[in-house]
Amino acid sequence: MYPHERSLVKQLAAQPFALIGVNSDRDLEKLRETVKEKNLTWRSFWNGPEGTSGPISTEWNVTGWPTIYVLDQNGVIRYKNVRGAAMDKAVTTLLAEMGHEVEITHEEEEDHE
Amino acid sequence: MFALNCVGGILVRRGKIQRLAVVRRRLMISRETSGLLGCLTDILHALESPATGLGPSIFLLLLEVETVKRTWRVWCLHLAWTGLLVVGWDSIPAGAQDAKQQEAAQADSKEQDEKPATLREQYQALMKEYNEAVAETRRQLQNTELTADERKAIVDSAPKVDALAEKVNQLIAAEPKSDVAFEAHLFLARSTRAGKIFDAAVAAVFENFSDSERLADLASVAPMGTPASNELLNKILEVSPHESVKGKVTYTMANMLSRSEDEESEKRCIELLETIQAKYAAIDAGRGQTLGKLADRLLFAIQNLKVGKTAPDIVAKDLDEVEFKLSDYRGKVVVLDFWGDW
Repeated sequence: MYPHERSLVKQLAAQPFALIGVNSDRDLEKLRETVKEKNLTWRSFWNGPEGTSGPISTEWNVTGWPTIYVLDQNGVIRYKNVRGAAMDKAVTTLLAEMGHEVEITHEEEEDHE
Repeated sequence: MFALNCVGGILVRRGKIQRLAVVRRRLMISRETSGLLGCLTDILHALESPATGLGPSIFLLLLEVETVKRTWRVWCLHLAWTGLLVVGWDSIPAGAQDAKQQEAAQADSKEQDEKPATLREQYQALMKEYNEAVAETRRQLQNTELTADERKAIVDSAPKVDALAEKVNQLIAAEPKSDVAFEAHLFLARSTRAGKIFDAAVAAVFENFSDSERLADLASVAPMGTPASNELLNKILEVSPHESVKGKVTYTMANMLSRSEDEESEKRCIELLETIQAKYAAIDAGRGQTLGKLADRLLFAIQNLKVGKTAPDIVAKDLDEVEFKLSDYRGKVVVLDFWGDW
């Protein structure tokens, strides 16, 4: 997961693209260390000290983690729960709609989770 | 790429009934879903799908990995997966509540007369024998060196639910309205999901427990979204005199419909949720929630969180406690990832 997301963010740095997290860890201090250690460069909302019962995931009716939404440039939900290659395809399709043709290729990266 | 055989052994808690649901599901796991958390989430999603109707109350999984391509990497995963994996699932009913329910159940059975304890013990003995035999079969099948014939022989000699049903039904015939009988019928229905034993168990529940508040538990025995399930839910609504049962079953129906994408289902789902808000809002749905609250959440999800809807804005702080908005990113393609490092 992290390697895929890191790779996606890196490759699309020049594109109108953002990966936004909603993090449901309870311990913010520990989370900050993790983010630093694993080089998670994207911005995340924090779901608050209640963790998975926090206000954002509750409003979004999230009952499983990770849950993924892919939004187009107008903020419309276009895909749900796409992962890996399917996520890449969703993102490139939406970028193509905006006239940005990109190809995503992932280098082999060992997964340290 | 490797295949993951998620074999049975899912301990599911619903109310005071704790059961072992047998689920078999074969998942193809690719490198893209690398990482244990990713795989695990996929499995939980698969198990939570309408086809199994188990809901998010899974907290224990027994997994068996069948490798397609045996690399060292896959073997490591094999070691990690095989055996017992305990999954802390957020929405497990609070332990305290369960303990209370169990106490109440024990008190109930004591009150009836001297026999129920004996009946329960006999039932538990039968179930123990059956579950142990199932576990033994599973253990034998974990051996990846087996030939197809050996595998078949093990499967053939596995304990049969038919034989169990016969013994259990004989046992509970003496007290068809007891708690044990109810639990036994639910177990048999859930283990079979269709067919003769299933039909007999469901019929027996309707015959003996139509006026019980526990009838709501019957809602989940048929695979969700199937005609059999719809029929079952409608019948429970029809026969139960209890508002709590009607309310819960109405919510189950709405929840099921919310998973369909077509307009007809959406319309019907909204109608049901409005019925809940009007008639059943105050009913306790467990875990500190009322049916009204659950209905509000589901209604919001249907109206705002489906593909094609504009995402609700999020205004909150980031990990450095700086406030920002999801709508700040209009004009960009956004992957919104609900994640946690656990």
